[in-house]
Amino acid sequence: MYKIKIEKFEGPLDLLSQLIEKQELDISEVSLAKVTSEFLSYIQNQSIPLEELADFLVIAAKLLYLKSKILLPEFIQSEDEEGADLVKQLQIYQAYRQAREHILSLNKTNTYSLRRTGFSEKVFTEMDFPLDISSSKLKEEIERLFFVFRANQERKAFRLKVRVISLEKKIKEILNALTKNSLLILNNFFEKKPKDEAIVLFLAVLELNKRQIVSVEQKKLFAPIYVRKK
Amino acid sequence: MSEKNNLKNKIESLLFVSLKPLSVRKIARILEVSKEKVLKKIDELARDLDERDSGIRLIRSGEYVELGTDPKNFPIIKRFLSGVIKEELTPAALEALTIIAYKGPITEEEISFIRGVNSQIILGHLLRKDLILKKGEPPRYIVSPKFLRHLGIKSVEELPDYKEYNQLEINMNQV
Repeated sequence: MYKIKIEKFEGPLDLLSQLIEKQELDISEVSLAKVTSEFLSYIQNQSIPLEELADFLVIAAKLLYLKSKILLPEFIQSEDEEGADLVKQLQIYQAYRQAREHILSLNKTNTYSLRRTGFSEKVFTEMDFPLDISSSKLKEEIERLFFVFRANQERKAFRLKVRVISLEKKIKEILNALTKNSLLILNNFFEKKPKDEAIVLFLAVLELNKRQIVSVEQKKLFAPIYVRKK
Repeated sequence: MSEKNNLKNKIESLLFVSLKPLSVRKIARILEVSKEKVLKKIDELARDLDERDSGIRLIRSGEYVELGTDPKNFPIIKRFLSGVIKEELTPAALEALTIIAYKGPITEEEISFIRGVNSQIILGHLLRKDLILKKGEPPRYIVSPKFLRHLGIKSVEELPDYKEYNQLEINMNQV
């Protein structure tokens, strides 16, 4: 049987409050210092996305400072507010965490006020905050993903028509052109040809040049390329 | 009809035709009266509608005003609509919306400070979904009338424990 552990934190403050809650501590400088090492090991062991890492490091630095202040009080001036500030910051965060429940329950009452509907806009869009991950929810999500995946695949299958352009054929094409005219201006030859074909044509010229069947001349950068039969 | 009532009457008409929230400033400009007068009349209009148990109510967030239906009538209105769909919002969106609802007008910096994470991206999402509005310099965020309608309330002051959370002091003196 598989056990899936979902550890999702909204940010460093969320992680910090959960660590403190787990130990059933109140928020204080002492309790913050106590969870410092756990906080640090979380940062080390979890792959936190780079763009979020900085936010975690800021809090980590504050925690370390706080801990050192508690361990070595004589070295750090007491007028320093850093520790108290982190306590305050976390308290504010937790307060709004509680306020969040009010918003959620208001949204859950399913009585909405609507404004006038414009033109054919007769659809109401509910806000959905799927905070719980249930098995039915996961099933819904995976079905949606599969649907998108399949839709994308069908589109790709339709678009991906592989066009094979043979180098050999292009070599023949150039040799044919050179039997009619002894001089070939490659740029003119490229005109009206799709990009992939032009590339293979160019490769063909290089190949013929290597085999010393033709000579290639270009007076300067971006000037016309002349191909002559040797 | 006295000139005073006339103003309230005009504001109500303007709000009726608009498909978007109107700012007090815009109403004042259209009617060529002061913002203070408009604000006063909006208060009166809101009270009028409440007192006569109207099916229409005035929704307000900061400078913005909108007419909306009585949320009690949603089950009936639902029968009129061709459908109700769900728009999924992330926990981060909920967190930011909560903070803006209770503490707005609030700057991006303050929101990021409270959440402990950079909030630029989430604010962009919420703006695009018309759930929040951005005003002034430096920009401050408030929730939109749309968001209030979704909660079935007329203004943020109706949120449970609004004063308590609104008065929480955010001390950002540390950098």
